[in-house]
Amino acid sequence: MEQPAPAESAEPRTLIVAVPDTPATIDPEFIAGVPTGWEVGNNIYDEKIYYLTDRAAGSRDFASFENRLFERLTPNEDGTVWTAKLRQGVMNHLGNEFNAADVKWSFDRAFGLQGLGFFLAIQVSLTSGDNVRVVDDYTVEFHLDQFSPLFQDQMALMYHANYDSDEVIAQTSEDDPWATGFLGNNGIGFGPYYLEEFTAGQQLVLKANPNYYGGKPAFDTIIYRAVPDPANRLALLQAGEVDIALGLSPEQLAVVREDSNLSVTAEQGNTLVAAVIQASRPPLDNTLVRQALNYATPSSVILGDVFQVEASDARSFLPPRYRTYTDEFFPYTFDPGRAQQLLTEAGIELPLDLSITYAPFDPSFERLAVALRSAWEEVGVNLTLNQVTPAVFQQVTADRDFDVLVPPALSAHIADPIYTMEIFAGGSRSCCNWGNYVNDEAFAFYDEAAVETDPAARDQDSVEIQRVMGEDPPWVVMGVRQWSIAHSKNVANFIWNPQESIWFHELTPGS
Amino acid sequence: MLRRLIVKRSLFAIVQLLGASIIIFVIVRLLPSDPATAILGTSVQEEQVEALRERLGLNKSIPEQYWIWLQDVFHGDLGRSWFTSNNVVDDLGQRLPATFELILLALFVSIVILIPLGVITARRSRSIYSKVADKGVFSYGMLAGATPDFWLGLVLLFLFWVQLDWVPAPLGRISISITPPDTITGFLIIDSTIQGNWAALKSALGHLVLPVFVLAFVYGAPLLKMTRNTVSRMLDAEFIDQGRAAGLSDRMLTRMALKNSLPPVITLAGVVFGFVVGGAVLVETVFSWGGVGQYAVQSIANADFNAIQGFVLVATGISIFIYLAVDILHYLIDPRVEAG
Repeated sequence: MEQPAPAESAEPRTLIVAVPDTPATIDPEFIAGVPTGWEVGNNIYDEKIYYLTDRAAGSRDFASFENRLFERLTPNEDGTVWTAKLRQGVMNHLGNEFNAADVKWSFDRAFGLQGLGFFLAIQVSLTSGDNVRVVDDYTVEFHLDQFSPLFQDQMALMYHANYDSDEVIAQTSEDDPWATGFLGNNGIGFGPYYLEEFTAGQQLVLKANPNYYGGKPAFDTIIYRAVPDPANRLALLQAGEVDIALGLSPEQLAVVREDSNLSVTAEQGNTLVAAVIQASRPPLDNTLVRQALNYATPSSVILGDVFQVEASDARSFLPPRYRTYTDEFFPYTFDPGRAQQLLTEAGIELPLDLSITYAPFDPSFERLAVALRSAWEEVGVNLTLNQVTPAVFQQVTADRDFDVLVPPALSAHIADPIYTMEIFAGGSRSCCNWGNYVNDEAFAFYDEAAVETDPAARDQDSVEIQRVMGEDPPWVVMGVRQWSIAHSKNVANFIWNPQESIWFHELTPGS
Repeated sequence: MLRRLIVKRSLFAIVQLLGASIIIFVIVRLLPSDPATAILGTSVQEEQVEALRERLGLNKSIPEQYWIWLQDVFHGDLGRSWFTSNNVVDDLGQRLPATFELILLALFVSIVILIPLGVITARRSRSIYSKVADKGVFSYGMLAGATPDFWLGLVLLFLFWVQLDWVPAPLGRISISITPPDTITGFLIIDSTIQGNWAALKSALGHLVLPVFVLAFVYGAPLLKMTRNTVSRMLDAEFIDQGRAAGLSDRMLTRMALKNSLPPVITLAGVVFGFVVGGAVLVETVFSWGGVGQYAVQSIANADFNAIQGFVLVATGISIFIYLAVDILHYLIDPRVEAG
């Protein structure tokens, strides 16, 4: 495992990023579903280890890891105890050094709050704070209740955040022993940047950590400015007022591509374009109906109309960029006749009235819902559009109270095929099976894969799960989104990661 | 008499505020979203959501919740915003100057330009000028009434920023590259003037031009029409004819007419202020202004109960204060209104 290459800069440089809004929170325990939140977290807290990154080539190898804040992470013989040797001399901007107590406190906090970190720890059989033991100032042991093939991938996640525990503990109180009030809009870690200013809804400023062990980043200051209107974000980028504009529509990205002063860095992402179906609600609990809806969907037409070049085909329930992706078991092509036949077989009386719920997280979601309504109308399924606010959407997904849902991001932050499918359509280890999908055969494969020590056998499990899902689809899958970043030519070297975040310390000045 | 008026109106204002707070408190709780779920997301255990609901007091009955909230309000505590993690009082205190600077300037521009314009165009004659003025006022009234404020903002941005580059980018109140003045009043143009920070003053004024114009243009039209119609009616009144017969100058007669027209115009100015506060909500979003209007939009999108309640309470309080000021002005102009 190699260390990341340091980046050096000679003169102060500032990057201004226009975002639809600042994050609702930057507390790593509660930032699921808040993309700018985890992006800020990545840049503040860094990772313990990460997928091997070739900065020169702008790529990552998702089968190997490089050391970051951990200098070494080694398992015992049966993989139930992992010993982490911390990199020594890792300092934050305050001059505090990263140590074993910081790692321990981070996991204690996760178990204390039972938020996102808790959910992730349970996934890898870390079931209590006692499983994380400090050996000395620079050594920590992780005692897993049983072997987990996901342990290294999990250590690559920022959500087990590397807090500067001394500083954060100083912000705790009897009422708030885990400093949730403080960490919601503050963050003190050991990453390449530190938070200098955060005015929710307006602006968030990151400053380069001058003591970062990987070398001072090329950009000294990152300014997120909340610009709610997408037309303004585009215009600001065109005018050179901002360097990066996020949350642009496919049409706006097309404009950026035409502009000789600007660039779009694009790569196939891991976010499926899909509609989640509420599989516990009649008649959608009938497999034949879910199959019919897949046949009734002209995926390529919808991708072209709604996403233009910003999406591509996916013919499985796993994004194509993952190693075990196969389209062998995905029979669904646009066939309204077959869809109607299946609905008849299922004993559905047409027209069938359903609603589709979505929130304006993305300018494309409403168009996607409209496209589905038009397509499904052809086979006698009437879709009512139900646009809700982000908060109501959160409630709808928590209550599983919908017929059809346009999810904000059907993607996982670990580059693991089993995990990617399981969290959205799995059993007890799933956080986000919003459609209440149950398939005993698929769940048995998940259980097997959760403790599988042979990577090849695990990969085979993931192929089998795709087969089962092909027969009993949980969602209507249409394709996969492209990760597209519109930016000025002053900045370059955006490298894709499964969070689809920008890691500012990897960026370099452009032309 | 004036003191009696203020006391009476103030007592009524308290009742109004309480009524408004009850209505908004109940409406917010009818929203189909749960702050505990919004805060924790969907990846946490149900017990955690339940524990947070308990901690936030959301499991109590609405009257109980309201009573607790009301007691806190009387102690100057509007609760904590889950979106910003700050006390709502602090959030509003930080953002109110931005909104006030915007809407007070918009109102000032409306009053300084549109009321005199109304008076000038009210001086009827059979000249072509008068007919053109008639048509102009009518057309402007129709246009302003039919133009959405956010749309006008976007169009003007396209024209004056994108195409002509005459105004700065819609990135808040001041350019990122300019060092803002230290906060004294929170009003950038006042603070930068006090501190002699001319670069900040220039930048702040530049950023104010379009949003102020949008608000003044869209919401100022009733002022122009009301002034013009009322002054025009007064100019036809008998006391003006008597004044004219007594040899008073046109200028003097116009002043008399204006003075007698003021009560309805002032009332309308109060109403317009309320509309401008409402209009600021969307205009701030277009110009990324960062005031309480933008805060309100974000609060509603995020089901941030305390923030929504705080905003509505403060906005209601401001409106009531404005109406009180209008009543006082009425009284000063014409003490007979107190009896009514």
